[in-house]
Amino acid sequence: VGRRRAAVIGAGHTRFGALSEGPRELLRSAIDQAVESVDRGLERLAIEEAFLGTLGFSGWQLGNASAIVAEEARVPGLPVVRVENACASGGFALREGIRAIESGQRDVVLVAGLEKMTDVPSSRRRYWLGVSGDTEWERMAGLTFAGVYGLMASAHQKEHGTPPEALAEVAVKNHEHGFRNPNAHLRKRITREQALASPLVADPLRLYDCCPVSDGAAALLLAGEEIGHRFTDTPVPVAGAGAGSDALALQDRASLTRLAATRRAAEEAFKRAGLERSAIDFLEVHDCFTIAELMALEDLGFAPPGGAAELELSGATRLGGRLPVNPDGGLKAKGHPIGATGTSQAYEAFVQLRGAAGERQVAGARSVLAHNVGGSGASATVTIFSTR
Amino acid sequence: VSRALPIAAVSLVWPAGRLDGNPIDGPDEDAFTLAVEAIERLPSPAPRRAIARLRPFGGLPPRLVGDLAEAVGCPAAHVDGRRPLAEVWEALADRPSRGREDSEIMVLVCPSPAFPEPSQEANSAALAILRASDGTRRVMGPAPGPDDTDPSAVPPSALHQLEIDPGETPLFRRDLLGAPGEPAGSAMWALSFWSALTDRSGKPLVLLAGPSGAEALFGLTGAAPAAFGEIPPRPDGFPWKDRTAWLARPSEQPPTLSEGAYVPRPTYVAQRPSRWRLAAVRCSNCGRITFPVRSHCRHCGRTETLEPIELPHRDLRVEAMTVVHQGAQPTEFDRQAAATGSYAVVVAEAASDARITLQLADAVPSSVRIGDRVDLVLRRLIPMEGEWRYGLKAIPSPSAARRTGGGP
Repeated sequence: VGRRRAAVIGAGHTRFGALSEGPRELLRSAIDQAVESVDRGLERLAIEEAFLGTLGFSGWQLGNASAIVAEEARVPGLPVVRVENACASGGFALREGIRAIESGQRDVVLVAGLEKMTDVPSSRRRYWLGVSGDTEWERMAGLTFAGVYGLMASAHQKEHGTPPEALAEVAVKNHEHGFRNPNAHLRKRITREQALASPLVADPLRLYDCCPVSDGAAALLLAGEEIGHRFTDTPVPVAGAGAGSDALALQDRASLTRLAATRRAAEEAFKRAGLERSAIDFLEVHDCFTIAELMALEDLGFAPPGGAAELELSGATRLGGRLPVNPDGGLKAKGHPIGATGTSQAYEAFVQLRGAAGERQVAGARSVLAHNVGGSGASATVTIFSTR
Repeated sequence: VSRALPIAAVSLVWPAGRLDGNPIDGPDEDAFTLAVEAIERLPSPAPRRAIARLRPFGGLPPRLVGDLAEAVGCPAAHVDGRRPLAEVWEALADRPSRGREDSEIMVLVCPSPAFPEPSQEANSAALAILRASDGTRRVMGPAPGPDDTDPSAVPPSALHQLEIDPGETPLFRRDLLGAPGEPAGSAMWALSFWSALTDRSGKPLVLLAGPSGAEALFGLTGAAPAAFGEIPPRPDGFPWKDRTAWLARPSEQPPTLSEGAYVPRPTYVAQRPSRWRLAAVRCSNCGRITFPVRSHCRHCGRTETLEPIELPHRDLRVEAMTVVHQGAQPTEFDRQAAATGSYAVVVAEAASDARITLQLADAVPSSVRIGDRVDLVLRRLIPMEGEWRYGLKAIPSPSAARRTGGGP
C-alpha cells in the first residue's frame, strides 16, 4: 500500500536442546548460518544495526548483553538493541528490526534471539522464568508459569468443556512434527495415552502439556523488500506485523480464557498485511503449554471461542491437514529457549516459504502467521510472512 | 506458694530437642496469623474502628504489634511483649470500674520459640478477649470450643513431679490443633488461659509449658495464677528463659535465597492494605472497582474520583483453580511443597472487576471446584528477608455447602 516492506533474506538456527555450547557459540553459529544462507552473499559490514531478543540467559549476563552480538557477528561498532519482553523477546526484537527497515532508516538489519538456560541449577532457572510473570500476586501465591497456565486451562475447561484429549492431541501432534525437525529438542513421538498418563505438573496440565527448557539461538537478516533481490531470488516479505499487551497478572485481565494481547496483535498484523485469515497456509503459534495453542487458535481468529479443541481433534492442524499448526514441533517439541523462540518461528516461515523445510514441508505454503507470547499473555506479537 | 522444682519436671516441658509435635494445622500458621484469626472470630458488637485499643500480651515482637493492628483494622497500644503471666492475668481481671469506658481487645499471643525468625517450627497459639465498654468479656481462640479438654494428655510423671494427685484430674488443655499427647510448646499457655477463662469447675489447671521457659510451670485455678515453684538452672548452664536463643543457635540450615517470589519489603508493606484487608478503590465516574489499590481507575483512568472501599472476605467465587505439584513451585515454596506434596491455587472473584490469586488452605484440593465459594484468612506465605510475609489464603466457605458450580 505504498509503504516500504521488509523481507527476510537469510536465516540461521542452531539445534535446540540441552547443549554444550555457551551463549556466544550459539549466537555465532546462528548468525554465521544466517549470513551463509544469503544466496548471493552478504558483506557483513552491510549490516547497519542489530536487535537481540533475550531474557538474559539466567542472569549471568543480565545487562548489556547486546555487545556480544557485534562481537560474534564480527561487525565492530555495530549498534545493537537488546529487547526484552519475556518469552516474546524474540518476536518483539523482530518487530523492531521490521520497523527499522519499514521506516527507511536502515536497509539491512540483523535480528537475533538467544537463550542459554540449561547450565544453571533448576532453582535459578525457575527464578529466571518466574520473574517474567507477575511477582507480587502470582509468585507470592506459589505459582510459576505452569500454575498460571493451569489456572487458564481450568477456566477454559469450565467454560467450554475442553476435553483433556484435546490438550493431549496438541502434544502428540507437535511431537510428531518435531520428530521431523533436525533442530528440535525433543525428537520423539508420543501417544495420546502417554500424554494423558504423564505426571501432573499443575492441574489440569501434565508433563507432556509443558514445553521443555532449552538452549538455542536463531538469527534473521532483513532487508528492504525493494533491495531484497540483490541478495536472493527468493526473499520472504513481511506482509504485516502487530503487537499488543495486557495486564501483567491474570487476575487483572478481562478474561481468564482469552489473551487480549494476541487478539490486538493479530488485528494489527492482518490489517497491515491486507490479508484475510483464509489466505494463511499454516501457523506458528506460541504453545508453551498445550492450552496456549488452543487459546491461540481462538484468539487469532482461526477457531471460535471454545472451538480449537474440535479443530485439533479433527486432524486439521497436523501436517497434511487443512491448517497445519507448528510444523516445526512448536515450543512443545522443538524447545523453548525464551528469547530465541520468536526468531525461530520466523526462521520456520523463511524456510517453509522457500520450500526448504524437508520432511516437515507444508506443501505449497505461501503465507504463514507467527505468534509469540510474553509470559502468560502480558505481551504478544503476530507477524505475517507472505510470498503471495 | 513457692518451692524448688525437680529438674526432671522442667525437662519434661522443655524438651532437649526441637518440639516435633506440630500443633498447627498446616505450615502456614504462626502466632501472628493465629492472633488475627482469634480477633476475626470475636463477636463484634461495634465496628473495629470503634474499639479503642488493641493490647497484645505475650511474645509478639514490637514490630509486629503495628502489623497486627493493621491486619485487623483496629488501633493498637503497644504493650511489652514479654510480660509475666501474672500481669497478663491481672489485665484480664481488670474491670471497667477502673475508669476505662472504651471497648478493648486484648490478645494473648504465644509465639513459637523461634518466632518471628522464619522457621518451620510452629507451636504457636493466640487468643483474643474482647472487653466491651459495658464490662462484658468475650473470649475467642483460633480453634473451636473447649470440648477438646483431654485430661489423658497430661504426662502422669509430670503430675507426680509436681506433687499433684492425678486422681484430682486437673484440667489440662490438650493441644487443640495437633495430635493428642504431644507437648504443645508455647501454645500451651494460651490454651490454658482459655481453659481457665471458660471453665467453671474450679479444678486446678496445670500449665506445662510457657512461651519462654520461665513460665514453664504454673497452676491456674480460674481466679489467679499461682507459681508452683522456681525453676532450677539447666545442667548445661543455658538459661531456661532464653529458649528462643537456644533454638536460634547456629544450625546447618542454609539461608533462604530468593528464587522467584521476591517482593522487596517496602513494596510488600505498601501493598498490605490490599493484601490483607482487600483494600480497593471504587470509581465514582465509571462505577467500577480497581483492586489492588492503584492511584488511578484501571477502567477509565480517572484519578480524582476514587473512593476507598474494602472488599468482602466471605463467599468469594472460585473462577479458576490449579494444583501445583512438586517441582512446579517457585523455590521459596520448596519447603511447603516438600511438606505437603502439592498445594492448590485459585483465582477468586471478590466483586465484579476484582479478582485475587490465592492459595487454598485447610482443605484438600479436591474438595474445592470452580464455582465454589471460599472465605479468606490471613496466613503465612513465605520467609523473605528474614521475616515472614503474610497474605490471604482461601478456605472453603462454611456458609456455602451450597455449591453453585457443577460441570466437569
